[in-house]
Amino acid sequence: MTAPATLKRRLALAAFALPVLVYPLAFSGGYPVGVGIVAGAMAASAVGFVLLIGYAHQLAFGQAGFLMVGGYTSAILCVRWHADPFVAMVIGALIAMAIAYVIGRPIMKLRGFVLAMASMAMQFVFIVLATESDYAGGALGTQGVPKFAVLGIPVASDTAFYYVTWAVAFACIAVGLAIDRSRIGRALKAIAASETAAAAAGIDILKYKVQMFVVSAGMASVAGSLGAHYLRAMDPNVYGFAYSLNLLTAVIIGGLTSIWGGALGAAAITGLRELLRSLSLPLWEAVIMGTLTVVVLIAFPRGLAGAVGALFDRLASGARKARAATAAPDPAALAPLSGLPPAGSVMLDVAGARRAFGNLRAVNDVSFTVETGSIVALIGPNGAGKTTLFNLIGGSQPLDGGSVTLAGERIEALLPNEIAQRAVARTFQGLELFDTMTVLENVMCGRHRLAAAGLAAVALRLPRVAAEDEEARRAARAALAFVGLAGAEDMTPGALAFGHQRLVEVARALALEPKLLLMDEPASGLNDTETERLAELILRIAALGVTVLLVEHDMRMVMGIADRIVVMHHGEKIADGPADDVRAHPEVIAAYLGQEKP
Amino acid sequence: MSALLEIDRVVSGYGRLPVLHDVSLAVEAGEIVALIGANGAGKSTLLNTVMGVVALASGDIRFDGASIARRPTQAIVRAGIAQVPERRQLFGSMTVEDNLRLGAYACRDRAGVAAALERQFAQFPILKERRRQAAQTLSGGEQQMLAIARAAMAEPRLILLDEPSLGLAPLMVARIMEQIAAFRAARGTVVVVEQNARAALGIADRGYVLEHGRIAMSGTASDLLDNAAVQDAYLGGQGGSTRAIEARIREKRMAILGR
Repeated sequence: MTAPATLKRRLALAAFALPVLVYPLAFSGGYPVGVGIVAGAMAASAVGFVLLIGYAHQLAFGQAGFLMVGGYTSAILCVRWHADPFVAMVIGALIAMAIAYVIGRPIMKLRGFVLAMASMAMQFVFIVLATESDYAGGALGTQGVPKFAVLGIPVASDTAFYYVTWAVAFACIAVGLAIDRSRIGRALKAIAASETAAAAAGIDILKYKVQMFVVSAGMASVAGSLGAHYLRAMDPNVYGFAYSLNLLTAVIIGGLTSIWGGALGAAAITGLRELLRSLSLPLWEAVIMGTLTVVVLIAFPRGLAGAVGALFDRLASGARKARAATAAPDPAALAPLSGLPPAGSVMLDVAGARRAFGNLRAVNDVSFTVETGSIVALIGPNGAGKTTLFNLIGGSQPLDGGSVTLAGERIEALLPNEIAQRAVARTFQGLELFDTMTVLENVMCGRHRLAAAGLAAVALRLPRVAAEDEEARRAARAALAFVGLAGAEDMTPGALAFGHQRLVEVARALALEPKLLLMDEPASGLNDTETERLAELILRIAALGVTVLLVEHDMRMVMGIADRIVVMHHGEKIADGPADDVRAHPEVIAAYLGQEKP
Repeated sequence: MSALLEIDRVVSGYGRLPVLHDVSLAVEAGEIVALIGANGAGKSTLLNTVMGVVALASGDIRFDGASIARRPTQAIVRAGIAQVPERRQLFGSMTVEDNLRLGAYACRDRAGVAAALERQFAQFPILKERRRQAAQTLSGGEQQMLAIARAAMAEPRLILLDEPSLGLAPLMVARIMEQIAAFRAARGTVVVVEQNARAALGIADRGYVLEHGRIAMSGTASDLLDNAAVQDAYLGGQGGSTRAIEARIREKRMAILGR
């Protein structure tokens, strides 16, 4: 981590923790402290909600359903079973997380408004169940919930409960921050920026979406439990749709791109609501809240936390103005790959591949092989089916027929991330970089398959997580040095020239330690001089032992670097051989090359 | 006689950061002018500034003698300038014909639109064949033809092309360049921005080289093709013919891979 990022984290912690600590001292008396407790509980659930909406990009409208799970578990266990409130809270969270895990896989496959409606339906089911259940007290709910206690130690005063609530909220923030800076956080940001490229880096998209759903359910449940102990009761209306909407407003105003945003938004919304309530303007309350929300969103599109973060970045960046990234490529930065199949064996075997879109036979019975260690180019007119064939090999589209075999293993039924896990990397014609991360973090995403730290290890900040991260950082730096981008690590990809952005993609692919590298038109948009440099880079990649299959239109590059050229036309293979044979092939000249000018 | 398009000491860019610094150039009626330069040199920004999409900070832009600086884009289109944006930006789910008709959106004369449509179909027969197909189902080269035809629907006197060869096969690049030359032959004027400098200078009368937002060089297309500095920076070095570049890459392959 660079120093400004560490400083930013410490400042954020201080800026947030200090007001929380002194608030009860400044505003003594039951009512303001009560408001602080409500805000703290909401902050805990908002952290999870930011992870779900802002990081996993899953828009859920029914999040308060999980607060109900926590609230009711605590109420019922404490009232009917006289359980310890802290233990009841933990049990509630486990139940909520189990429910989220079970319904998560089907629900997280949905997108956009369908997902939002599905989660709302889930909350509706919870409300109906609670209302109809006599055990839970029906519409009147469960009354007489005791004051909170931690393993037998009572939390008697409101002020003490305030601090307990905010301690829980800060624990949630700590987990959120740990996720944010781990490989899981990078995976989530990668998914949000480009699902295609995330999968190509070996990231299991559905897995991380479900994980964030589970985490957010747990945090929501904890918040629900705390709320039940504050209200000393739990009924079906406490966490209704209005609460879901408030939570959504809180995280949007606070800022979806920052863990702090959720907590900040929760505090702001709760405080504002109570302030307006104290002014006794019942009709105006909704109008003012709505207007302020819109104003904040127009003024700060990334929310309050986003605005503060941007201000910090602007102040901090004065010292480290963007450096030009023009280091020479360092061919020694990466070591040759080990454990590869013997040279001359078949790395990739495509046999009878077929794929049709309606009547269009995009890929029609195409077969070819790629030898281990070779560079093979796939050429053909626009619309010949080259990119479709690439997608079939990479797993992003299913085959209608035929097979794809990678080093002896059939891979045509695998998903893109599973193929990436088998050391197949890919670059894209239209750049697919993760714009919200630095260049270094982009490349670190390529290391995803080579690290193992899971959610639990990350949340608990186990030492091996840091060690793995350090290794990923070292390898990513080496890959950047190899392509000639040493010095550009801390820049955002968008600040680089186009040709350099393409190199970031190549570095990300190399970080994966691929045995097969698929490149889709790597020279597209490069001028002649840049193209020649890229050709040399690809040769150096091949020298590491990486097998390269590329789609390319630039004939100087193709004819210059490829050991073999496969030509496609109208979905079929029309030629396959060394450069000079293909160049002289009459069908290739007619369909693709045209008559070469001297 | 004054030039059709005059760009006069233009400074423009995004936000507070200028991309173009004091750029002046002129395009005579009936010319094809190529703008070449590295990625990020400001070529697209220059086209977008002419179209009023990027705000002009200072300087003036005159079209047919009248200033079009700070006019809204639709007024600039009505004045007779059409832009074919980078990556084509077609209406993908709409048919070829609907895309073309939208090119003449400002035209209220139905007979005139029908005539323009027929002219484009005569120019690009493949588009007539595919008139009922969704634009996104066309191949890359056909899409580029559609983008050019759409821009030509408004019968512009000046057409601005941004990277027409992007992502196209060699044969298709040659066809697109022929179409651009054909547009000029029909009394049109063309400014073409290209990464493929060789192809663009191949059809252009004159060219300008943009570097870091400034005009670094200008001249006739053949002078620029022969210029050593241009060859070094954009054409793959001196003696940078297609075969020479390929031969150098092959030498590197022998040196690096030993084959």
